[in-house]
Amino acid sequence: MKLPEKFILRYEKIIPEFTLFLKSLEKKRKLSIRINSLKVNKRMMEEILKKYDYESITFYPYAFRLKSERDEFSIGNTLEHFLGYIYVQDIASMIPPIVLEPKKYEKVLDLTAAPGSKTTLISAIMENTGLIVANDINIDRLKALTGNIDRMGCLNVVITNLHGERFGNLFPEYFDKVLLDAPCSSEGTISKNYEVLNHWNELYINKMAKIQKNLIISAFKSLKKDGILVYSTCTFAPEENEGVIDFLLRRYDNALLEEINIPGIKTCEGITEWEGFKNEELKRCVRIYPHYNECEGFFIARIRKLP
Amino acid sequence: MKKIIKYFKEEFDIDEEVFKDYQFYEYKDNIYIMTEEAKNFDCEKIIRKGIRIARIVKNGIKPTTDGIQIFGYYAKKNIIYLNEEDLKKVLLGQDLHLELEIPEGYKILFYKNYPIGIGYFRNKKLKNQIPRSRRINLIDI
Repeated sequence: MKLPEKFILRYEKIIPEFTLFLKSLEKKRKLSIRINSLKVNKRMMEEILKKYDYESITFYPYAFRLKSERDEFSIGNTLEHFLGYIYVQDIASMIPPIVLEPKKYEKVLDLTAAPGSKTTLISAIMENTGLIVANDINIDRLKALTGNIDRMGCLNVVITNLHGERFGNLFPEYFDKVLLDAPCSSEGTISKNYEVLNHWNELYINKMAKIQKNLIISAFKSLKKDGILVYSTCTFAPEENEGVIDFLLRRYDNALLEEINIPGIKTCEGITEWEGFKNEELKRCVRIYPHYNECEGFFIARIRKLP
Repeated sequence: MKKIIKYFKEEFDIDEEVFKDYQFYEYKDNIYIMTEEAKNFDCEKIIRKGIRIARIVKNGIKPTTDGIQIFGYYAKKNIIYLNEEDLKKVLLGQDLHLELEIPEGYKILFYKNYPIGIGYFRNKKLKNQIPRSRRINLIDI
């Protein structure tokens, strides 16, 4: 894989053990699955897992990394997949809903929800109670979202097709929890999808950061007092990550960046200084790198809205 | 939405109790099931609430595959158990010929203890109702 020179120059400064990181991008990653606790009890889970060689994932009892070579296509043709008993999902992608800590009967907003990997996990954690508003502006991506919600049997989800930027004004201080898994330049998925590099450039990163800043304002406005907002991306660009969080913290005095602890995952602190921002608080954000965790690259921040 | 609860009781002997935590909503010949909070949520450009549990058809009500995969476990009648060979055919979208002396109507299809979906049985023929988008070429049972 040939990475753009500018990409290397940017990230060798901030990604630790950069050579290992580059090597990890070449490696074919093992699939991970999530058992759908909405449909599967403990006995059924044991039955399903008998078929797989797997290792458990510490932070979520229904998450497993498959040890043997399996491809997504073949898993998609198994009975357990057809019945919505399993969901193929990258380990890193399971983390934002875990950090969000949704509770039974709460009102949760998943602002940019398609294709629904995180929505269906939130639904499972909430045990099919309360309300999840799963929104996405892209009508084509909504098909995948509805398909996944149907297959996983989520009865607490309302699907909407609004511009995410509108929620803050339409539903001020309405939701207990908000997940903004923002559209991004997707650098963290390079090992799975080399095409990400085709449109990679700094202009694109800045364009995405602008979109993300508008979305995070809307997400924060729609959050109840004492509510939790989780912001995540699958990219490394500081402009799209810490830069967006810094923007929110500077705009709202009542936005408190909280510590994140994910058992079994090696995380790195957020970057505190980059072109455009300098803020020690940003250490509390977490960066998840593929060479430390055999997963996609991710960025996660947890913000509480103080009363 | 007493009619949908009554339908599942009469056709499949699924107790009313099973649906006690949920609400129903009928829209354009589709019946959806959802939590109370989801039913009460309102805004513009809502695509859907909950999942579609059944459709209103010419001769009554037709349960959906998605609905059966959630609530089919509780059925006590109008059930057909499939063997592995027939399961593969059903998941491919094929109809089955079954030497069964049972009344015409919708039947819940089980493989082992798992509710797979729905089929319409008439004159020893089980008409496939698995949606095209859900059909698979089953591997590795």
